[in-house]
Amino acid sequence: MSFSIRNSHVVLCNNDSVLIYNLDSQIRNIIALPKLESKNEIRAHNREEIETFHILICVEFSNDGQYFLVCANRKQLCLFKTETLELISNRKMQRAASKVRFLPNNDIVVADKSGDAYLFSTSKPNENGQLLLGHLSMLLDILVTDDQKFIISADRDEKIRVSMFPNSYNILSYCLGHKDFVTNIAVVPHNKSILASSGGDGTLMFWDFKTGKELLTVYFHEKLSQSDLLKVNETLKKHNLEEGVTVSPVKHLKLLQLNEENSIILITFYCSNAMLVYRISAEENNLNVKYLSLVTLEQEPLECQYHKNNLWILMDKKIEIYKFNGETLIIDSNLNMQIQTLNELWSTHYQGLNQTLLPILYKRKFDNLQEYQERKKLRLVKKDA
Amino acid sequence: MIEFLYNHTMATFTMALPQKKFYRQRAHSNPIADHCIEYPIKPDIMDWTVLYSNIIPIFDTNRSIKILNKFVEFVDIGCGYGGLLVTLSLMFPNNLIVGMEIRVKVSDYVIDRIAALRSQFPDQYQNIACIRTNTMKYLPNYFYKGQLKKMFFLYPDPHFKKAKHKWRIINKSLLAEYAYVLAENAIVYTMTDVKDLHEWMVQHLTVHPLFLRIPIEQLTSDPIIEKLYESTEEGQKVTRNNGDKFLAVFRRISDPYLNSKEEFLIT
Repeated sequence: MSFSIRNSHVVLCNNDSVLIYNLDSQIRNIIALPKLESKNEIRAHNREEIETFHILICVEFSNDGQYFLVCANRKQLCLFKTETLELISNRKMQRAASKVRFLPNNDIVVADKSGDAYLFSTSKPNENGQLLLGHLSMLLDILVTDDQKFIISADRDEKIRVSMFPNSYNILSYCLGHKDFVTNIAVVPHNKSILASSGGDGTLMFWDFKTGKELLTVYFHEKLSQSDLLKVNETLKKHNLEEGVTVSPVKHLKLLQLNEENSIILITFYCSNAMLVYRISAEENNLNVKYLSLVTLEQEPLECQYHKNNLWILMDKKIEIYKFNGETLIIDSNLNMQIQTLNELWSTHYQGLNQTLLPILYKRKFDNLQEYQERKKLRLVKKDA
Repeated sequence: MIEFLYNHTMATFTMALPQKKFYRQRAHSNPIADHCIEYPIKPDIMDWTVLYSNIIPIFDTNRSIKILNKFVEFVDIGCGYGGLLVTLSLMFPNNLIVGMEIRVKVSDYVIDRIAALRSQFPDQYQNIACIRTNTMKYLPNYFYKGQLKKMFFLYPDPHFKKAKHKWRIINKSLLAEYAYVLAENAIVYTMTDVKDLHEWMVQHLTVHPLFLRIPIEQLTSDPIIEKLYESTEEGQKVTRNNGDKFLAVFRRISDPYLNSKEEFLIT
């Protein structure tokens, strides 16, 4: 499930149908996704947790709101025109995607689970994706900077790679320092030379991404409850990952510009209703991150987005809108009233599709080193005797 | 564990060279699997002084750690049993050279071999070392941008099956990583006895904008070239079997895209 808002349009997506709702006119449209034209039938994977990841569904508006994309049905990428709901393209991806984003020029960048990133042209909607770069690790997030000069990719090891764009074969730097997978990267909106990142190691890190220099690390883990962590471990156990984790993994990292010197940082977590709010003020050589609050939501957020300085949160039951009262996040009851119809539509539409990336973030390591070392030790001892 | 082996070896006056029969391992390793490999999170925290233990380190007051007074500049990717390392050690006594190998037993053989050589020839082989790691994943964890001057890909696993081509050590995406750790004008040496793999490597390196093939006639002045044919264990095996050996050498060049943009700005 996923949603996106731009101008007065909300698009919600769930399994194989897309709901487009106009906030002003309250006109709603439901479109069924077209069948993926493919010679080879896409077979289901025999590992359940990978299969749920395959059907990762994502909808997003382009920055100018002209288009929206739906990434669904495992390897399918559909592009629609917002005004007419016309299907511009229905393309097949090489692998199941893990992240899809629009570029400022409305092209689409797709990061996939085999570690490759592709560029899909919007002006040439029938062209196949063009390989931009590849990690030897699953990609979890990707972005192209607003000036379209850099492409930044984050993976399931602990790497953030900064490549040039469009000459993405030229790597500018690596931002190295995370100790586990990196689920989210975002450029600080009021200071676009700084990158924020987070993932599985309980830290929020800030980088001068052009040089790869680490600027600041914020530890947030102690702010979260132990019971949430317990839920993470129970989920992992269900998926046969016995090795417990000690840190709740980050699900979303969203930044919103407050004014010329400040931005708000929001972090949500897997298996948790908590949302941490920080403020970052970054002037030349002086980066300051201040903890503001912990907001407890009704449910674990499925998706969250800023729209006109409000925070929209998609949950299992409904969408809830928050606003900033100074630096405090409060429920905006007016706006929530206005989207009541939308929420009713969402609840009738929702089919309880529970997809989580969580289990595949963690590695199942196999150790062939220790056994060898022990055998060698025995051999050497024998020789001595 | 390592400690014990160390003490054991230190106890004898000079160490015997390791016997290969104890270190044999099948030639293939899955580079994509999550191996148990210890690697530094970033080059800043890589402790090279342990690997080149007879080189006197200097103290870096900024980072409060011991470091070497020079960088590793030559890397043998998939160094196998270490034949090339041993050859290069004497040819370039002033350069630090590291071999990287993913197979547990094979890398351990090279580590033991270097230790034995150092104990037998105390003034030599201090500039070579071997690390067990997955270079397809962790190269930027060890090396800074533009740190390397020479990189060797000798007799890499051909991964014959088409489905396994993505496991090959040279491909479009990985070349970007190699280009990142290589200095401009650094040299990449490739050699294989598999014609198909040779063509694959040449094709990928030729197409990549940051590499330029060096013509054979320009290679005659490079003393390394002739050593590539016989110094490695794989190379000797191919000779015994009267097999072919295919060589291709490339130079890391500056980004033609940036250059063309600069030209555009000037004119």
